[in-house]
Amino acid sequence: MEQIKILLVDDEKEFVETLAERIKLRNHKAEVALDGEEALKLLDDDIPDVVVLDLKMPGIDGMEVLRRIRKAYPKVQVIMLTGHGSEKHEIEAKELGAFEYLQKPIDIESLLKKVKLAYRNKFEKSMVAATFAEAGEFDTAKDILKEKDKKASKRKNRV
Amino acid sequence: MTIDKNKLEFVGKLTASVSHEIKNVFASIKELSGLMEDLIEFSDESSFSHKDKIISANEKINKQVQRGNEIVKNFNSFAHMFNDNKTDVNLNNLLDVIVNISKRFASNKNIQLELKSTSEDFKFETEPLTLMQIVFHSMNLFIEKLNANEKITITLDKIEENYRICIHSSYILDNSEEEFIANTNGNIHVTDPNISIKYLDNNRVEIDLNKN
Repeated sequence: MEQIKILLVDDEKEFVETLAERIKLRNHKAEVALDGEEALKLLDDDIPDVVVLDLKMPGIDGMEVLRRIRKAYPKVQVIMLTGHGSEKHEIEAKELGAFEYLQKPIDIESLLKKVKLAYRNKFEKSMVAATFAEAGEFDTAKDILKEKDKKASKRKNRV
Repeated sequence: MTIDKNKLEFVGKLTASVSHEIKNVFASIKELSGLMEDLIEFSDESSFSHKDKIISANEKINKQVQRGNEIVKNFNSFAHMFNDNKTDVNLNNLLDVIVNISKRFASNKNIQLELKSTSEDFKFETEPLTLMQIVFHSMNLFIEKLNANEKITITLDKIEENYRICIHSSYILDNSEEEFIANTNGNIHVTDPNISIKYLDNNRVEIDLNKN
């Protein structure tokens, strides 16, 4: 089984640390950040495959963290996991490129299922783009990455 | 009675915020209980002398979390409807929320509330709080008068371009239509001219939502 590198960002300390422990028990890597700033610092040091991100946090809120991650690390997949869910927030998050928008509390197996899908999405996208890049078609590779992002966002907005 | 719009929005905002915080508490309890479950599952079986009892207690914690979360979810949706402004209301969601919240009042008298929901999303522009008040008031009329083991059915139908919410009781009341309308007007300030209420055959309230 592939080991996925997951960054969990949430200011609910007990929740996020317990979730990380449970993820580690399932043989994935899990790092914890208790706010947006800490998350962005951790991303600078070690890029995860998937970020599970809360929406409402002190300091930089989840939506802004999502915006910055998508800009600086477009390959990193972001799953929003929040207790502050509204349709408006969900649409905004998906427009910004969130892979999924989930509500707390969530069953760990359901969360990991989404994490694996996000990871696969990242992997597939990179593989197709890499094929074109290897053939020297860098513009096509770039277009594929952009197009896949757009399609994923549209598909999720329809759901 | 009319409530200041700003105060209503203020109460709604605070209520929504509190319900979000409660959701976070449930999420933490769920994870901690899940961790206990994991530790039992991933550990050496012989190291737990009361394994079955711990598993059973943990399952009960999970059930209560699920129950609490459903209540908070309804409460949160309810809080988001705390405004007097006209907005595009998802009628299925509105009925789901108000019927679920009212179930407690009905079950105290052993009365069953049944919402026959539709799979299609019906949307109507109105003041959500007023519409919820009308539905609640109509259900409550029956809840107060019915005997135990009676049933109230709530349906939502599309009639051409308009919608109809029907609250139907299994028991015939002795209220007249005049009494019902007078009571409704005394309790709810219906400002939307596109909503009309009828009390029929002493066992049915029809709330018509007309698009024009």
